[in-house]
This record gives sequence, C-alpha cells and structure tokens, in this order.
Amino acid sequence: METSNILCRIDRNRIYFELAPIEGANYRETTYYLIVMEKLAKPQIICHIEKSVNYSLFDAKWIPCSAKFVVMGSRPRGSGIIQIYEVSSGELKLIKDIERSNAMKCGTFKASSLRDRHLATGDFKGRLNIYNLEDPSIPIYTANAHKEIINSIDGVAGQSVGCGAPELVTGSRDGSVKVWDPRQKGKPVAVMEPKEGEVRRDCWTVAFGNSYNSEERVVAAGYDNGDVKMFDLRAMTLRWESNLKNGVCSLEFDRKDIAMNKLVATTLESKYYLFDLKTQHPKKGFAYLTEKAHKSTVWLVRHLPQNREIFMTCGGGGSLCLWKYNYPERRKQTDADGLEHGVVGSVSLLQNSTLSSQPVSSLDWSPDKQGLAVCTAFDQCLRVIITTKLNTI
Amino acid sequence: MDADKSILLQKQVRDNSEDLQSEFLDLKNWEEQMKRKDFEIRNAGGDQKVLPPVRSKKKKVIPLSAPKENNKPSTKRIRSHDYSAWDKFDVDKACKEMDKGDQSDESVEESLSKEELEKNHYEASKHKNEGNVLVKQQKWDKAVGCYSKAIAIFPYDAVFYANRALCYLKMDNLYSAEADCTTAVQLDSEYVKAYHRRATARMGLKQYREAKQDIEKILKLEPSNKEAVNMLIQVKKKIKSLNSVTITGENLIEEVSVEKRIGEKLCGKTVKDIKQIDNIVKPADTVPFTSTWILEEGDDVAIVHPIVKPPHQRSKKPLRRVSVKEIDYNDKLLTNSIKIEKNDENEVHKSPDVEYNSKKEVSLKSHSAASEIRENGKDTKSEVLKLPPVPKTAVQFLMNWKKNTCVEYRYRYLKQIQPGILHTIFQDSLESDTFSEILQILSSKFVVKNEAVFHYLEDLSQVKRFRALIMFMSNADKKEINILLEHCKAVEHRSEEEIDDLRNKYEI
Repeated sequence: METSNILCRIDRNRIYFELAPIEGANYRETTYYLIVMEKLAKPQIICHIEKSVNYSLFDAKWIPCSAKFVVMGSRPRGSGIIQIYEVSSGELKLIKDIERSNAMKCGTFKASSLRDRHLATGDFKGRLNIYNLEDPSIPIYTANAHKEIINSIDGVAGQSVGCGAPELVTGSRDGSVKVWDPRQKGKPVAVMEPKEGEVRRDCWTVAFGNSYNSEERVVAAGYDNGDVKMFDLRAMTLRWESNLKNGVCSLEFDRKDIAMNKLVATTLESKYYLFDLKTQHPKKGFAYLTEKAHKSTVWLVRHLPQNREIFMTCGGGGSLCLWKYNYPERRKQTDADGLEHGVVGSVSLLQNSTLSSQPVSSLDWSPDKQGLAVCTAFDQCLRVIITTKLNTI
Repeated sequence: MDADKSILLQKQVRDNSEDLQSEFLDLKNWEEQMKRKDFEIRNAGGDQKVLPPVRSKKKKVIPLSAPKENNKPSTKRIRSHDYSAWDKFDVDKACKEMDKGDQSDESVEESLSKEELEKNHYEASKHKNEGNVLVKQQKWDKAVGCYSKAIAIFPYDAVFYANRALCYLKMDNLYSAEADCTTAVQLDSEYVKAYHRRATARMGLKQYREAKQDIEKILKLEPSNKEAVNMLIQVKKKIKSLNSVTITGENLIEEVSVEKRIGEKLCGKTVKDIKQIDNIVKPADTVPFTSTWILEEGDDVAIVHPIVKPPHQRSKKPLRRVSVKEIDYNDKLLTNSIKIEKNDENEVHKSPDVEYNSKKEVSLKSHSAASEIRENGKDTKSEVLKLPPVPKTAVQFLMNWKKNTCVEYRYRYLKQIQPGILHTIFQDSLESDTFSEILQILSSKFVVKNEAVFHYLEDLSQVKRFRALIMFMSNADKKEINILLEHCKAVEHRSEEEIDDLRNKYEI
C-alpha cells in the first residue's frame, strides 16, 4: 500500500489525516480506509489532563454540581490524604489538601444531598467517616465500622427525592457488609455477615440498586471467592446468589434508583458478567452473558450516568474499554412450565484505550457533563479523560 | 469510487477534530456554568426534604448461609407463671450474654453527639489544667504527658496542642513543637499564640522563610503585637544574611571566631596571625579557600576536622560545588577580590575594586605587590592568607607550601617557623626545588622588608644531605644566596667570619 497518499500529523491528542485522492486504488487500500473510518466514527477516549502525585491513589469522585473532584489515597508513611482538584481551562487546580491519620480506600457522595455534598469515606483501619469538605478538620460522622480495611463504599438516595432514606453500604475484608444511615450514630442499620464460626470471605465490592421507591432497596456484594450475593433490604433476605468462579472486583447496577435492570460484575482473569435483572427465574436466576476483556483483571465497571446502556471497564494493564449493551428483541420468555426467564442481549465494544502501565484503580463519570471522567491508576497519576461522541450512539 | 471514499474519510477526520474542538470549548463553558451553580448551591437556603425514617432495627443480621431459616435458638420470653421453664433458666449464662451484648455495643458506639463531646472536652480540660500547673513549675516533660492525655480524650482543641508545643519548645524539641503548632493552627486558623510558637520553633530550625510567614500572619491578626514586630525584624535580618552573597561583618566574625577556636586548639601561636586576619573582607568565590589541614605527627594521612553543628542549625540550602582555581596572586587576587580596609577598621570598603584598579599598575610593577599595598594602605591585609599552623614534618610543610604559590603567603608561612627548627622539620627530605623556592622567598620578601635571613640560611645549611642540594643549585640560586649574604652583612651586621662560614657551607 502506498503510504505517500496519506499524510498523518499528530498534534498533542489529535491525529490529523490528510488524504490525496487516489486513482485506481485497490482492495486493500479500500479496507484500510474503512478501518480508519470505522475507528474515526467511534467515540474517542482522550486523556485531557494528566497529573502525577506523590502518594498512592485509590479512589476519585466528582463533587456533584461542580467542576471539582476529590481523590483519596495513602501517603508512603501510611497516613491518608484527600485532595480536592478543580478542572479549570485545561488544567488542574489543587483546592484543598486534607491529611488524615489513616489511609483512605474509598469514598462516595451518593448519600449526601446536593446542598451538603458530604464525602463518606472508608479507610484501611475499617473506620467510616463523613466529612464536610468545607470544614474537614473534624468528621461530622464517624464509626468503627469494620475490623479491617473497608474495600468498597456506596451510597444511595442523597440527591434523588422519593427513593428512600439516604444510606451508605460498606464492604470489608472482615467479611461483613454493613448498611449505615448517617442519622443513626455509631451503629449500622443492617449487617450482612456469615454466621459465627463460618469462613469469612473478603468482600471486595458493594453496590446499591433497585431503590425505586421509599421501601424497595437491594445491596449487591462481591467476594474474593467469586460469590455474588444480592440482599433485599426491605425483606431483609438474601434475594439471589451466584458464584462467578473468580474473585469479583467490581459490581454496579446500571442505575440505583430504578427497578433493577442490569448488573455488571467484573472478575479476575479478564472476564466480566452482565446480568439482566428484569426477570428472575426461581431456579435459573437471572439471565447473563460473559465477555472477555482487557487480557488481565477487570478492576472496575462504571455506567455512564447519562446513558445506562454504556459502561466503561478498567483493566489491570491500564486500559479502558467502552461498551454498549444492546437489548434483545424480547426480554423474557415463558418456558414449558409456564415460568418466565430473562433473555440477555449482547454487548459491543465501542472503543478501547490504554492510559497507563498500571491498573486503573478507580474511574468516575462526571454526573454533570457527559463524557467527562476522572480516573486514578497505580502509577500515581490521576487523569481527566474525555470521551467524545457519546450522544450520537 | 475510491476517491469518494477518501473524501468521505477526509470529511470524517475533519469532523472528528471539529468534534474535539467543540468538546473542549464546551468543557470550558461547562466549567464556568458549574462554578456558578456550585456557588448558588452553597448559598442556597436549607429546604429540608422529608426523609423516610431510619430503617427499623428488627432482623438486623442476615446470616449469609441459609438465610431463609433463622437457626438461632429463639429466645422466647418466659412467662411468669411457667415455673418449670424458670427452673431451667441459666442465670449465669443469661448474664454473660447480656454482658457480651453490652460490650459489642460499646465497641460500636463511636458517636460524636454534642453532649458526649462536651463531656470529653470537660475531662480533657482537667488534664490540661493539670498540665498548666506543671508548666508553672517548669516540669515540662510531665506537662507534655498531661496535654497528651487531654489530646487523646479530645483531639479537637487547638489549645491543648499549642500548650504542648510550648513545652516542647522549652525542652528544645523543635520538630515536635512545630508539628503541634501546625495542628493547632489547622484547628483554629486565628490562634495567635500557636503562630507565635511555630515561628519561634521555625526560627530555631532555621526555617526563616516559614517563620516569616507565621509572623506576618500574627501581624495580620494583631497588627499591634510588638513581639511579633521584633521577631519580624530578626527574621528579616536572618533571611538577608542567608541570601547575601558577600558575607556581612557579623557573619564574618562568627566565621573567624570558629577558625580562631580551631587555631587555638591546634597551636597557640597561630592565634595571633588569625587575629590579624580578623577584619578582612571575604574574597569572591573563585579565590582558593585555604582550609585548615592538619597532620597528626608521624602520620601521612591528611585529616579534615569538620565543624560540628547540631542538625537544626545547619544550613538548609543545597550544597554547592565551588570551583577551585589556582590564581596568580599578583594580578588576579589583588585586583579582583581583595577588598581593602582603610582608615576605619570596622567599616568595610564598598568599592575597593575601582580604587584598586588605579593602583594596579603600580603594584604590578613591584615584585612584592603585597608589601607595596601595605605601604599605601597602612593596614592592608588579605584574608586569603589563612595560615596553616607551624609544620612538624617535611610532609606537612610541603603540603602547605605547595597549596598556595603566592609570595605573600609563603613569606608569612616561612616567617612563622622559628629559625633553628627548619632542619629538624626537613630532616633529610628537602628537595632542591623547594630549597630554591625558599631561597627565592628569602631574597624577595625578607630582604625587601629588611628582616633577618641569616638564621634561615644557617638553619638550612644544617639540613641533612645539604651538600647534595648545593650541587644542584642553579646560577640564579647562587645569585640569590649572594644577595642574601650581602643583606646579612649590610643589614644584620654579621661579622665577616660568620659570613665566610656560610659562604663555605654554600660553596660559593
């Protein structure tokens, strides 16, 4: 193929192609054009700002209704740090630097109203703290939540009206999952843990879902042995459980505040599972599909807040994959016994991109700007990324 | 066909970059919009929405396995009339269970209710008051213990930290003091005492810039704080002295006094020489710095004696490489770097260079520039000539001798060696070139200054292997000896016999 007809110019993050019209181009060239065109027609994942810091990053979250985000991590000497950055004309401005005695693992704003925007954090010592970022010297809520590190935290109902009380859920290495109401000091409102004497598996991830009215709510938890459990908080029962054979790194419902629709669970060994939660078969459970991705541990899944069918998975090799879920023609079927079971659709890979050489530890889509996200990786870099063309999919 | 495709592709590329451009533009608008929205939300009044009640506590624990059936033995309430059941009731076990329940509750209880905070604060204040009493008795370490207890109970009061910082200051534990002040300031950003103590700690740690910031903060909070004003002046002085390239008088004296002390320790004699150097201005960077090298007797190893300072007093500046060049004394050293002091001994001349240039020609013409200057400027001295102590071995002598080739230096060095001990220093290791150099110095400096050389000549003649040295003497050397002998005769009024004796020894 003659390359002289294609001029390629790379300028920062943009690639410019300039093509001269070709006479008598052959088949191969045509395919090449098609590939290029296909690539170009897809959404682009662009690293907008990259900033390296001098501590380990574990989590990043956008502050709702602002162009600011917080990052949480651990200093080399083991103390915790929360930093607030503002995206300001293509640069990051450090707004605040909060140092705490314990390393921070995870945090969320989801259980706090838009006016307060309090950050709930879980740390390495198993403490749950809620901070007012305006005055972070004393946490406004603190609890010795777990005996060991809090691996994951999630919140619900902080910003939406009519879907129940604001609650937090924490999952810890001590094997327990606890639900907290910030109005109740020091004590969890619900605890899900194995009975005394039984093996306690490390809980790696928790997520709220199905919170479509003031009563219904479920918590999904993923464990290091591949267990996925779904607890119904209204009935206080175990609604569903399954084993995915490999440790479950991340779980997320496509939406928290709707009747549960889809759940994505990512695992070690480069696989993720997508469950259709519309229909639960009494024996088979939920219909699901599996997909290989990243060729390494899939660390994370995050659904786009503006479009629930699109989600990003983050891999151990520092790669990001953008996926789209396509619904089947009919979402449920009735079998011979008259029982309904779900039908799963398919996923298509929209784009992939490698950001760093180390695993991406967290990613958070901006709730206010479609396509904007912040992610942290274990190469001690935080990155603001932009994904284009999400509105045209 | 293909042309169409390439055009299509081209269009797509263009679209893509346009997309991106608009995305960036959009982002900028969005940022501004968000700022506005953020501001509005922050200032908006609190319209409390009605929230559902806290989840009821019933059935709190869901066992993970076999969740449907509750395996726990149901602890039914025993009816008062059911005597047989009461007979079976194990009171001890029940008590234990209740205790257990209480304990677990306590461990979970970590609430920060107002009343509890107040209670904690009250308790902590008790410890604080104890600490205050101890402070008055100047029992610093015990007071630190009290304050630490108070902090453990209630870690949110700036006063505790500031008080503990004071104790640390008194105990000269500056780092801890600074850390405590920082915590206090974080808790109460307008706590003047904490800033003041931190400034003091930082002054001690030689972090003058940070100290200055603290003091400025104090002055912002309390513009009439006299102590802070004084401190600010002090700090500014320190910063200046750190910054300035030419060292100020105060510093110089300090430096010299260190030298002096070292000198005193090593040998009493040199102190006088160093005193002479006392009020001489520091040369520029390029001037070789003659450090004090000392040799232990009978040891070939050069030992550098470090100046030991406690870590907090050491300079925080990164080490800088100073290039050392050998400079000919006559033309560079004098004209470029030596600043002369005239009339007033304490006042440093600001522009000696300019003044000096005019004299340059004169001094250059003369072989002995330094002595010329001495005549012109009366008290002219050069600081470069930090003299090493009197040598005890030939190696020591050689090292010091070779270190500085300038005539003035060698003259002084030679002069401080008492005549009569040269041959004991050299024993049998005087080289012929060193020998001729010594002769040169004698003829050029000693003679010009009308000082006695006879002893030196006599002394040198007693060096072992002197005959061998004589054999290697050049004509110039011989001429110099002649001059020296003439000098002995004319100035020192030596007798003919003594001169003749020397003449014989030098085989002239």
